[in-house]
Amino acid sequence: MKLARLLPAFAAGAILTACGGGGTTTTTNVTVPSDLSISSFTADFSYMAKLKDLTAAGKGKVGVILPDTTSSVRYVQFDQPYLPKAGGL
Amino acid sequence: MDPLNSTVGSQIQTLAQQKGVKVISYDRATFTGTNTYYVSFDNVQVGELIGKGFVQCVADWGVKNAQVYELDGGQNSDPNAVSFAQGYNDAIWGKKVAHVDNGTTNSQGMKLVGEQVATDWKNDIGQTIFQQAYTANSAINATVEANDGLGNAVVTVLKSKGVKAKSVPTTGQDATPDGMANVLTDFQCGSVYKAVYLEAQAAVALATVLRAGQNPPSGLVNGTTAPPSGQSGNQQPAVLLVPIWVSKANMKDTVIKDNFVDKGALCQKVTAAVCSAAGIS
Repeated sequence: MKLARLLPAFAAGAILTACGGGGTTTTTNVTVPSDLSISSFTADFSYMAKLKDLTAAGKGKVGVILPDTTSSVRYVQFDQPYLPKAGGL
Repeated sequence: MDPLNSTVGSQIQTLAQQKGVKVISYDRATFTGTNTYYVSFDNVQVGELIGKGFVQCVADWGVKNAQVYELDGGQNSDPNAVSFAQGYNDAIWGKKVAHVDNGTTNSQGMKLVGEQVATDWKNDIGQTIFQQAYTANSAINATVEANDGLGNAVVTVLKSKGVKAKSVPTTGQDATPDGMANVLTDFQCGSVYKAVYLEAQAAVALATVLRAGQNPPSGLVNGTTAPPSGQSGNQQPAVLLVPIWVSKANMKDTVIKDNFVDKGALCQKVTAAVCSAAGIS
């Protein structure tokens, strides 16, 4: 198990620990887009821009842990680039 | 986190909980803790697609009196493998269970003649299992495999025995390059494609909502996942995405369109003519 990346500005704010980057959460008046569902997402990642207000309202860092790089190439070829892309990086 | 297995996932979750960090278990479920969110595809639905694709393929390839062998995934270590089997056993035999008894039949005239788990999803183990099964019972003329790696292991055995294309169905998931090559050359019926870009966006969207201190909407967290029977743990909230069955008919518009599989390498492997026949050029 390898730490793939710590994403200090990732559009999300929960997750990880092993790197010591404990995330904090905050409650604000920001609202979740009413159309956010499993059908929101497309190959061009365009929906993610609608989460900008939520991103701005949150605090903390996000870490991602992916499995090893040899048992499946998907983690390197797809997950590792797609996760930060979804976060606007 | 995408833990290597459930033990590692639990260790990470425990540490995260101690630190007050929220956890999203990405692609592989973790059943310890509370609100350990799970983001993945609906694994039972993945299995159902495998099963339905298999049934359709048996008909399309004209397999008569199908003597079915099932090569299951790593149910010894991966709860997802149990869900996959529940899905395809439901679709084929009408039994939403991880294991079906040998001798079970269905209304399409199929009969289950063998079923075994390839421990830890190891393809070499799967190949040995099927080699022995096929040697012991050459009447096997239809097979179900839980992923493309196991499908390719069975195809390797079948080819070594001189079995021709479009005669013994195999299945899979993950839409791997080998799997897609086997599909295009009519050694595999199809595969379940789980678009990683959907999974990545769902995980980030969920994390964004949680980070802002909001409750995720039911359209996003649309289900739950629970530990398999006999395994301890808690039911967890889940984002369950919709997988796609990929066959020759829609490969161009799915895995090729998304660049999930390299078109050039695939067509070099199966020949340009085979690709062209599937509309891939």
